[in-house]
Amino acid sequence: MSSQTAIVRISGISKNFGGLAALQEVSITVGRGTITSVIGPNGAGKTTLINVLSGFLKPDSGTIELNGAVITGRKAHAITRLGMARTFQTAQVFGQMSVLENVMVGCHARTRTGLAGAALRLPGVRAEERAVREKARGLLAMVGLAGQASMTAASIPIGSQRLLEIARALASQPAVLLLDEPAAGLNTQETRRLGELLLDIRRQGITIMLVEHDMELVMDISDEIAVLNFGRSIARGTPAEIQASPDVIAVYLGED
Amino acid sequence: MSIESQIVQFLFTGIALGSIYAMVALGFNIIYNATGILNFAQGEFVMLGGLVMVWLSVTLGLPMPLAFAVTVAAVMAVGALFERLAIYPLKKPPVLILIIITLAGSIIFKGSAMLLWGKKTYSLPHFSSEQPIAVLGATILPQTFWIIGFLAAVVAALALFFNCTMLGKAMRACSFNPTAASLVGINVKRIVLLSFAVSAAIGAIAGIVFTPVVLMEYDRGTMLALKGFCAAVLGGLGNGAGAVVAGLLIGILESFGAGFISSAYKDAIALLVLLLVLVVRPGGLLSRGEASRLKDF
Repeated sequence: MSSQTAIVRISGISKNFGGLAALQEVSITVGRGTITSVIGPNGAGKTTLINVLSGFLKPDSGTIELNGAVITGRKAHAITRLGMARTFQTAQVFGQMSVLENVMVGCHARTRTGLAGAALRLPGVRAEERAVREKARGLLAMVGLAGQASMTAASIPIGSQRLLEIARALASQPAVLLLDEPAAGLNTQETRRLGELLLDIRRQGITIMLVEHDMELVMDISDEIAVLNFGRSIARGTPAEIQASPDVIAVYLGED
Repeated sequence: MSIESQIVQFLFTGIALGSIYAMVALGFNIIYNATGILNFAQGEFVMLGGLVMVWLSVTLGLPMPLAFAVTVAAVMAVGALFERLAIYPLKKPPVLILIIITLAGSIIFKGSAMLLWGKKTYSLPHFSSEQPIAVLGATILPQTFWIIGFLAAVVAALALFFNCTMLGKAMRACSFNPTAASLVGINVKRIVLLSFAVSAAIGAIAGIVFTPVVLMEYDRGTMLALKGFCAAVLGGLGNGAGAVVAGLLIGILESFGAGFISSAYKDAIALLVLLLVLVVRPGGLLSRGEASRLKDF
């Protein structure tokens, strides 16, 4: 197992929907500065896990620690402010706002001026707005959307919306980025570019937790992989270890 | 008075009236965008703005600008308090229930105002001279220009706020996608609170500038809310520019209707417009053929 210190520690998380146990006693440790992927067949509880981590669902039991602080049960906006940002399986962009503005709004968690500021210190507010605009442009360049900055978010292709969502998540200066199937619906070339982008993000010291079906992408870029099946964590290890694990092979072959 | 000068006269009266409707409609839109709620207490903020201003500047004798600022702040606080006490505590309520709560709020505001101020009609001095200005044979009160000016100022301030401040962008983001907004660290509940405060402030401003011309009493809010609502629907719910255009249009129609047909039908005109819009173009005047943005109905 990795020797890095843990940035996210998921301990014994359970979540039931009525009679369905979506997560049962799941424990996963995410090492600081790694790309840790969560894989598993459909219905294994991957998206539920991300929803619990990001505060969109409350777990029935268990704890989640981010940087040593317990964040279980905190609201989504508070968790973002504490340094964990996420994207959605279906990109959730602000469709009627421009691509640039979408990323600017992402900076919200890190801007200071409140209503009083907006009302009274107009020069300061303008300066902040300019700084945020510059930062957002930089992030758009990084994900390769600089050319689309002034288009409305709804008008760009799904693949680009995914990248936009990643740029917006990065705007909140997260320590941890949770990505829910970012490669879904992307073609091979787009997926390769996404992989490069994720490695780029990791190089900047941001930890990535990736839920993904595209095995090639997962095996290419992950430092660690955790496998979920029917809400249980059944294996974890490096890509090589996972590919060799009889349990994992059984789960995936059993699916067919 | 010649027909031309009559037209000019009615036009200015209509624009002044319409400016108030536009401000009420803007208030409707801000809360609607943040929450999907139609706040039928919106007219009461106008009434409160007028009456609090009268109390501060006439009864207590505060200087006009100070009374103005305190009134806006006070009505803002009322709006925020209303949200915290009546809207915030409910967990995921259906929007229809929230709308009915705003109707209840409107009744409570009206009743409280009656207890505080009685059923008297109050007047407020004009902001500047009451000497009418002659324009093309019509006589226009200077206060009319104050009203139009304040509408312009409110519109400019809102445009600046929504487009050029991070908080404004956050509010717009909430209206487009609350889930994604909370995901980027926006406290959606606080944005809802803010939307009530801002709407109340706009209502208060409308009440303050309007009172010198038409006087104010405790039960004015309901009709103003109704007219403002008509303007908001005519402009396309949630559409700021639409609200202003539609508010002015309804004001002008009303003024011409009262002048050329009969003042008895004055209030019917806005409702007639509302009915027509709902039948012919439910998305509103300025809708771009996209699916109407009516949220939860």
